[in-house]
Amino acid sequence: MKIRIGLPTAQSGPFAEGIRNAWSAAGRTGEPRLAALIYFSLGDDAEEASRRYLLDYYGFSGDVARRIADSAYRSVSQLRDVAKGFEDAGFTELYFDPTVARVDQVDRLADAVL
Amino acid sequence: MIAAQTALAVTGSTGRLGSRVARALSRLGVDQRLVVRDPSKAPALPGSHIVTADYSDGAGVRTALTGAHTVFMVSASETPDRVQQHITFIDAAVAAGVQRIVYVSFFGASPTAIFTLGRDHWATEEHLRSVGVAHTILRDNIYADFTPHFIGTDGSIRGPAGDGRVAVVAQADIAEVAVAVLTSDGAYDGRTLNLTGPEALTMNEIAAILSDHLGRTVSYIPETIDEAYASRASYGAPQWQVDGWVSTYTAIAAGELATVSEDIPEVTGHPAMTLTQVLEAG
Repeated sequence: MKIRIGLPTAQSGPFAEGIRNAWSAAGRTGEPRLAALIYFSLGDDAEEASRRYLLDYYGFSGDVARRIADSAYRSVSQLRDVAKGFEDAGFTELYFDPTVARVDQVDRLADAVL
Repeated sequence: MIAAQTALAVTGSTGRLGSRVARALSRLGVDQRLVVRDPSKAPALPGSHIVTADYSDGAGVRTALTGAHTVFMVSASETPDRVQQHITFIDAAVAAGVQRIVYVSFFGASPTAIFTLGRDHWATEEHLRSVGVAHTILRDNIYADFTPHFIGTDGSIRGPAGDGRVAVVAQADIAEVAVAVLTSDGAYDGRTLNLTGPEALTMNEIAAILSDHLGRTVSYIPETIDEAYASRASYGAPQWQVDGWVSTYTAIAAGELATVSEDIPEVTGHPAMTLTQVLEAG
């Protein structure tokens, strides 16, 4: 399984295609699992805790931690766009890391993307 | 109890580097105990056992490490008391009978390192050198894997790095070195290994490589130090944290992260990965 972390980009489609080509060239049957992971939080009351978590987890990396905390998806429209972006690029799975340990994030996510 | 007999203890297995190391050890069939704060987050790996301890809890660490011979120690979260947590952990490990500690430090760790977190790493190294336990120090440069995350939401890299260079290093290479050291039965005791990529790149060069890889233009816009603090002021973060953010770039500007080391080729037997190779590997 290949996992990418971050944005769907212009390279995500060719990346997925390259994996599929290598898969069939190797004579394998079925489909490769192509997974991506993104960070999100939903709800104004969740953003501060989400940022705090990401700044702590990536704290060793200096300014990268700030950039990653900034890059989490925090709106319904962003989440819909990113899910479609990875789907269009040919990814088979997308993992949504809620960055805050609250059950309401699951319901909010389901409302956003299902 | 099997866990108490496992000679190798690995911290940080819920994080990126530690999880790579733990998975690689598992694939090699090496039994390990995973020392974690929150057992619900620990990876389930063949041959591994989970023990719970917090770095700041000396008694808990001592219990968790009793019977362990070698410990892979990643640093604690960046908090003002981080060095004290590391000292507590090292002292508890020694008290538990640990014979060897492999510590993940930062390139150029020094009491006067410009990257402020490098000073904490140096203080930890000094303590490790003083307690009489066999040790290996892995001084990692900035992760090549993280360079896409230097890009802001405006699509550019902004920081006071000037035209300085940084020898960014692949996490895969660091993990491979860590596994080699942990399974070498002391061949690297007393060594400080400088883990860098094979070339030192300017931020402009990094931006160009990222542009090629991402299929869109990424530009590097140098900030002055004053501009860097001003553009980060809105976060309301504590001073030590903002200093850590800004000094990521000023360390590059000063050339403190520019030296290319041959330690990865020496330990692994192959060249260190280039940034392009890291990005292509996904």
